[in-house]
This record gives sequence, structure tokens and C-alpha cells, in this order.
Amino acid sequence: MNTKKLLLVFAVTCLVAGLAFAEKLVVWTWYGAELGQVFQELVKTDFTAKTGIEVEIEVVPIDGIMNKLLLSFIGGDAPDIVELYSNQVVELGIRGALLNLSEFADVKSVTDQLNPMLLPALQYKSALFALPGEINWTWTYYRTDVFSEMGLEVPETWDDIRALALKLKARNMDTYYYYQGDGEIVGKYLPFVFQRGADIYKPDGTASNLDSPEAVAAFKELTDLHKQYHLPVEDPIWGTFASAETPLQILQNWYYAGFELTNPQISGKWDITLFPGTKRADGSIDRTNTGKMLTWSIVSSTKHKDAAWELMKWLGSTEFTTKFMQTSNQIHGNRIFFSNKDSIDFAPFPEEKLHLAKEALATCRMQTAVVGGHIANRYIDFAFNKVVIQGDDPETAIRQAAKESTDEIQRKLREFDRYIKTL
Amino acid sequence: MKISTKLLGAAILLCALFFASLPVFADDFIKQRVSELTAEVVAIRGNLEESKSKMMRLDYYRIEDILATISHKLAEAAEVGSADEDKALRTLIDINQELKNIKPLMDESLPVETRGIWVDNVTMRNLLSKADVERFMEDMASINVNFLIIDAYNNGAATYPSKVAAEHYESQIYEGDKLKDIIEIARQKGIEIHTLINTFGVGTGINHFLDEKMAWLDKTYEEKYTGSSGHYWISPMVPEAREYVMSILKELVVDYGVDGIQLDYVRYDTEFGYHEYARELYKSLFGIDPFDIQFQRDKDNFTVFKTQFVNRFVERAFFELKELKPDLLVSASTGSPYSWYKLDLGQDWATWAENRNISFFCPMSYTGDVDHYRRIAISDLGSMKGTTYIFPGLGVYLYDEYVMQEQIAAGRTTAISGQTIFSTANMKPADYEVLKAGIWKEPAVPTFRDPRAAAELMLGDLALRIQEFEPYLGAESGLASSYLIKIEELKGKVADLQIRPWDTRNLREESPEEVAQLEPLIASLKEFSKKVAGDAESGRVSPLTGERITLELSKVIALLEPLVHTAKPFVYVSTYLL
Repeated sequence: MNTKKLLLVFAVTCLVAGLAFAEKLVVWTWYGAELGQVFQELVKTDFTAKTGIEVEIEVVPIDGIMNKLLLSFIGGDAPDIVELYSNQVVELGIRGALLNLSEFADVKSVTDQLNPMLLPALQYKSALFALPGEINWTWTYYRTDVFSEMGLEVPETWDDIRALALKLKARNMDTYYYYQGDGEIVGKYLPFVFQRGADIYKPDGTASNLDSPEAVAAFKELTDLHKQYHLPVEDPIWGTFASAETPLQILQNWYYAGFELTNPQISGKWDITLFPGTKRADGSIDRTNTGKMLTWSIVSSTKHKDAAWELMKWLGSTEFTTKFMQTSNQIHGNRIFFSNKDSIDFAPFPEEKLHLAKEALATCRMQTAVVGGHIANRYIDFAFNKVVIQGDDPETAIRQAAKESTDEIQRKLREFDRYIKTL
Repeated sequence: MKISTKLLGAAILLCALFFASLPVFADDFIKQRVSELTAEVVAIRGNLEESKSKMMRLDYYRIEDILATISHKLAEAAEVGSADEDKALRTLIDINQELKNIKPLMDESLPVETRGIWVDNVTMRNLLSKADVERFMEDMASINVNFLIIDAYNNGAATYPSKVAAEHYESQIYEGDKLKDIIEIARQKGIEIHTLINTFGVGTGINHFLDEKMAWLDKTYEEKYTGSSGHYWISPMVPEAREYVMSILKELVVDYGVDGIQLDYVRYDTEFGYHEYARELYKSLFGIDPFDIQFQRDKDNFTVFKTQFVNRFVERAFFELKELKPDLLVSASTGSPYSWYKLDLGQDWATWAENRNISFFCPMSYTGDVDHYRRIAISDLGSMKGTTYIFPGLGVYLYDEYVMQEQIAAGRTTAISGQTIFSTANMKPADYEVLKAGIWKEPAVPTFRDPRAAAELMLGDLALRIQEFEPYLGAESGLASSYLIKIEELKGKVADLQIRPWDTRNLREESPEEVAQLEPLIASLKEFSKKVAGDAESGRVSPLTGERITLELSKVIALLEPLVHTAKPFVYVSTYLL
């Protein structure tokens, strides 16, 4: 055998060995169908091709993913990376199912690209269990034709919304405020609390803060919208916006593309503005809104920690998010956004409105994750129903919710004590 | 008293308009809104006057009271104006609400009308105890329905303890027999119970067919058991499958003594009809496997072939069940409008009526558009050509309570004498409120059981209306009295009819004596209707009054026509392609 042949055999052996021992990550995502194909293609061409890290993508419906993940985790066949809703992350994290991303030395360079108000949903104590991906925030949609005909001003504050609600109702029209998803009422309530500089939990996360003066006032303000200002509790949204029966609607950002696609007949007759705010003492307006995110987590059982972290960073990168947003828009006409601040510049969104998207993202604050918090949310629902449907006193109702929430949180803290101690 | 209330109302209205016209008191918005609402009040008053000409029995005093309150509030809002914008706006919002309160009152409750409602599988699942059934039946009685169509068999299982079909879990855990409880309470309340079965549709209940019944499942052209909907079907062509369905129907009639049976899903689904048995049979008859069909002529022939099995099943069900209980009514819920479903689904329901295999239909005329609903009802009535009765279905899941009211009212402007709501699970609390407040406020005599008696009652009611509303009819002197005399005469003739009752008659048994009584009577009704229309056109009576009288006469005619059809010599009609 001559030298050339020896070198060739050596090279082939190295290649085969390299392929055999190449790292392969398994990712669970809910991106399926055409979007799933785009996702796979981007991973293959832009990530695997550059890093050599193979990625196997499994499409898993987001419903029931928590149970499925826990079962696979116990069974030893969990994926390396999983896509979750932001409100699922900490529950899984404190049980030890997700890796604490703070372990990675360069984590700060990633989180610096994010609005810091998004992270409390993904953290517990000093542990960070996920990085945000797609994001929803809340803002305001209004029918420009109706506003123009009635001589109405675009709302800036909740005072404006209340005044408009009465004027519209006097014309038999409605104003609708809705937060789609788990915790509909909490999603509506949080901004009123946040705009008062407060939270619904005590800072150490061991008790509810619903009985604080700020939270009580916020609850009164929310329930008053329905009781005193006639905002309906339910509205079909699409049809009533098109018919102008409900020409003012405060909804999440994904409705933008929904209105474009389902209501082409009102094209040019509607617009958006930021979430209604509360005037501060200095005259400026606090427009903090809330939303939810799809997030990426590394499952703690992974044997490819570093490779998984590389993929996580890439998934949050402007490169990936830009291509994904744009392709998704081309396929479905939707207009998704990612949490990465820089990616907004490349979002498939009308350029003249991008400043609104940037400000909405910058003022989007997620619900703080505390142990038992999402279960305790239901006490806020109960309080809301007591006031709006049964006519109970709002202060009494929310104070009762505070007590029940604290009991729930403390019960869960005792249940998870053994995990929490390890954080 | 009545006049003074009116004068007061008018004075207040003038005040409202006066204040509304003063910019010094109100800002532009409030002024404009007061003016709009004032116009609405004026329009309602105009409608009330028209309603009187239409001889509608509305709660005029109550509506006037509400209008008076509104007028007061309008004046108040105009007076307050921009000085206290919040107060003015809230007053306007109150007025909006008052106007909404009037809406249900603007349609009357008719004394003779078929009012059905489908009690769907969701509702049946949720009735878990006798107390639930009692509460539910209270709700039904509160809206004055006169027949319930109870879902007795769906997704391959019964909602009652059946001896021949599998039983749904919710029925198994019910203490006692849910269907018996429903029937018992319904009888106390004077409501008829017609049980519905999903005749050939299995839905997703395949678990009940994983035995020898598997061989009954129909197949698609791709030889699959499910089509795009993911639902399973049994083949109407397989003899054992037909026997099984018949045994369920017979059980309901014999063991429960129901008042009626309704066949739902009595058809194929779009892609079905290719069961091996059907293919073999077709091949032996026509020399070609349906899979090998290439020409349109053969495709049409296969469609007709498939349809005949459904036709024959309906025919068999009708006659065999009537033999068990002669006064049983056998109806079907059918695709609507008729022409859409005839060929695609093998549901040639006009032919069933022509062949006298059906007591009535509840066509599923579900649409969100009021005018479209009315046009479908007219089209289906036309397709029946006076052979039977139809009580179109209202898809209340598509719209709010006011559209429901408008659709019922629109249906009433045709010759149909009743309607059916789909369905209990889709009924919202506001739907109940609207029905109770006006359009179904009072009990009504149904028209499906004894159409002759219903026709007599309708004419009697028409005569009463003419007396009640005489000052509003715009009739020439003596004309109203002549109408009364004629209507009383026609009513007497309907009362004197010596004919077999609809519910027990053999629909195929001819009776020249009945034809001899009915045909001249219908001709007299038509002649009188023509005269009234002519009077209205020449201004001898208000056009609205004329329209109402002719409408009522058309309903009476539509009730009598199937009685004539089923008294004439029977001629079998085959399904044919257009």
C-alpha cells in the first residue's frame, strides 16, 4: 500500500468515526406541517451545516406536553431541547427536569438582547430555565373609519378607554378587552397592577400580594370596566370588528394578521396603537402590558449540554428569527414576533408601525413565576366572576383571593421544598 | 286613557327633539345620538301602527310604556348634554338597553304553530339524573315548544337502556331510564316526544362495531372506512345493517310508545357507497363494478342505484313502524335545500313524500342570513309540491337571539306553519329570554298531528283578528264584515270535512270522497285569497292587512294540500336525475 492509499484509508476512517460519534440533538417542537418543514430546513442549512451538530426534530403538540415530557424524562428518553409555553417552564424547572441556563458562562450575552421584563416568567430564584422564542404582547386595535366619523381620539390611557367606551356604547357599539390563553382574567388584570409599579406576589414569591393597596385598586379598575363602563365579558372579535359593532378592541398582537386575513373588507379602515396606560406623577404614561411566550429549554438529562446550548443560542439569534418570521409570513400570512429586541427590525410588519412593535415589546412584562402561582391564578378568576357576574364587592373578593392564593403558594412551596433547596 | 298616553309621549318626543336641536345644551355627539334615537323611536311607533294593520297581537301597552320611558330619558339626555357628559352618555346607554328590551316584544306569539327543538346528544349526555331531566323539561316548557326531537341513538350507541344497541356511558350511570323519564314528564306538560336516530351515520362510535357489525361498515371510493370527516357509516345496502337499524326503531316504538320517530343521517356521506356487497350487487345487475365506471351515464345510474336503498329503507320504516303504532308520526331531518343533497348524498326526500312514506320533514335550513333562510324555506316548500309538511330547522349556533327571532319571523311570512330549533346545546340564555318574551310567549297548537283541526283553528283565529283590529284595517265600509262572513264559511267547511285523520291514515289509500271535499274547498280558499289581494291592490283594504289575510290563507291551504295528495290514487315515483 502506498502513502496515498494509506492517507485515503485514514481520511475515510476519520470521516466514518466522526459521523458515528457526531453529536445529535433531539428537539421537541410544536412547529409542524409547512412551518415545521421550514424549521427543519433552517436548522439543517444554517445550524448543522455550520456547527456539524445533527438535530432530529420531533413535532409534539403543545397540549399535554408537560406530562409527556415528565414521562419521557422518567423513562430516560427525553429530548435534549423542548419548546414550552412560558407558564410551563418554572413548574418543570424546579422539579429538576430543565437545565439551569445560568450555568453557561455566556448566558448574559444572550439575555442582554432581551427585554428584562420577560425573564421573571422563566426564572426562579437565580435559576433561568428557558430562553424566550416567539412572543405575544397586548395592544389596541381600533376602526379608523368609526373614530373619524364620531370625531374620537385614539386612546392613550385607561381614562381615554373609559370615556370612549361610554361614547361607543351610547351608539350601541362595544369596547372589548381580552387576553387569549390560559389565565384570561389574570392576563387582563396584570397590566393594571404593573402600571401601579406592583406585582401580584410578594417579592420573595412566598405569598400573594393581591391584598396590597395597588393590587386592590387595580382589581377595582378592571372590574369597573365591566360594571361601570359596560365592556362585555365576551365578544366574537372577528365579526364584530368587521361589522364595527366592537370598533375598539384590546387584544394580543397576533390578531393583526388575523384581521388582515379574515376581514379583508375592512382593509384600510383600522389601525393599531399601544396598550392603554396610566399617567404617572410626572405626566408620562406607563403602558406596561403583558403577554406570553414560546420558549426553548434544555432538558436536564441531556448528554449534549454544550451542543444544546449552541442550538439554543442560535434559536434566539437574529439570523434564525428573521428568516423564520419572514418565511412564516410568506406561507401563512401571519406576523409573528420574537423576543430578541434586534429581530423586530426585520419582522414582516408594516414598516411605519414597527416603532409600535418595538415599544410594545419594550413595555411587555410577563407574569412572575412563583411556585404554585399558576394554580393560584384561578382565585383571581373566582374573584372576577364574583364581582362581574354576581355583583359582589371587589375589595372583599380580591382580599379573599389573596388569602386563598397565599395558602396555595405555601402548600406548593412545602410540596416542592426538596427541589427548591437544590436551586 | 290610551289617547292621553299617546299625546304625552308625543309631547315628550317633541321636547326631546327641541332640546336636541339646541347646541347650547348639548355637544354634537349627544345631540346627534339623541336625534338618531329619537328617529328610532319614531320608526318603532310607525312599526307599531303597521303591526296593527297586520293584525299582530303585540303587548302594545307595554311597548308604549317603554317608549314613553325612552322619550323621557331622551329629553333628559338632551337637557343634560355636555354639562354632564358622563350622565348624558349613561342615559343614552340606558335608552339603548330599553330599545333592546322592545325588540322581543315586536313579534307575536301565534296560537297555532309547530314549535320543535332538537335535543341533541350533548344535552342527552348532560342529563345525569331525574332532577336534571325535570329542570330541563321545565326549560322546554317555558319556551312553549310542542314537540321535542330526542337524540336516542348516535355514534353507534343508544342514549337509553337498549336491548339491541350498545348504550352510552351517561345512560348507564343514569339511575333508571332517562328516556322514560323524559316521556313521562313531557306527557304531563303536553309536549310530544319524537325520538331521533342517526340512521346510517356511526360518527366516531366505531368501538361499538368492532365485532360482526364491522362487516356492515360502508366504504369510500378509496376503499376506506372513513372519509374526510373521519366519521364511519354503515351501508344502507347491507341487509343485516338495515335489520339492526329497524330493530332500534321498533324498540323505541314498542317499548317506549314514542309519539314520533325522526330519521337523521338517513343518507350516505359524500364519498361513500362502495361496500363490497353493493359492488357485487351492482355488477350482477349492470355488469360493471362501480370502481370501473368511466362514463357519466353509468355514474348517474350508480347514484340512482344507491339512492334507491335509502328510499326503500324510509318506506319500510314508515310502514312497519306505523303498523306497530298507527298514530306514530315518522319524520326525517334532511339536507336543505332539497336540490343540494338529492344526488350527492342519496337523499331524495321529495320522492319519499311523493311516495307517501313520511309524516313531515325538518329540513336543516341552517344559515346565518335571514333572507337566505326564508328563500330556502320557500324553495323546500316548492320542492314538496304540497305532498307533505315541512318545519325548517333554525341553526341557532350561527347567530344571536335577535337573528333567531328575525328568522322565526321570516319563516312565518311563508306558507310553513312551524319551525324547529337546532339545538338545545346551542341555545344561549338570551335565546330563551327572547322566545319567552314574545315570539313563543304563549302555548301553541301544533300543526303536524291534526292538520285539519289546525287549519280550522287558524281560520277561526283569523276571524277573531279581523274583529279585534277592525279600526286599523283601512277597510272600506262593510268589507271587513264580508271577510268575516267568508272566513266563517270556510272555517265551517273545514270543520265539516269528513276525512281520515293525518296521523292514522294510510297515506297510500285513495279516497275519492275526500278529494271531492278537499279540492273545491282549496279552490274556494284560493279564490278568496285572490279577492283579498285584489282588494288590497285597489286600496279597498290596507295592503298590510291584505297581505296578512292572504298569508294565513296560504298556510291553511298548505295544511290541506297533503290531505288531498294522500287521498288521490297512489302512483309510485322513482328517483330520477335532473
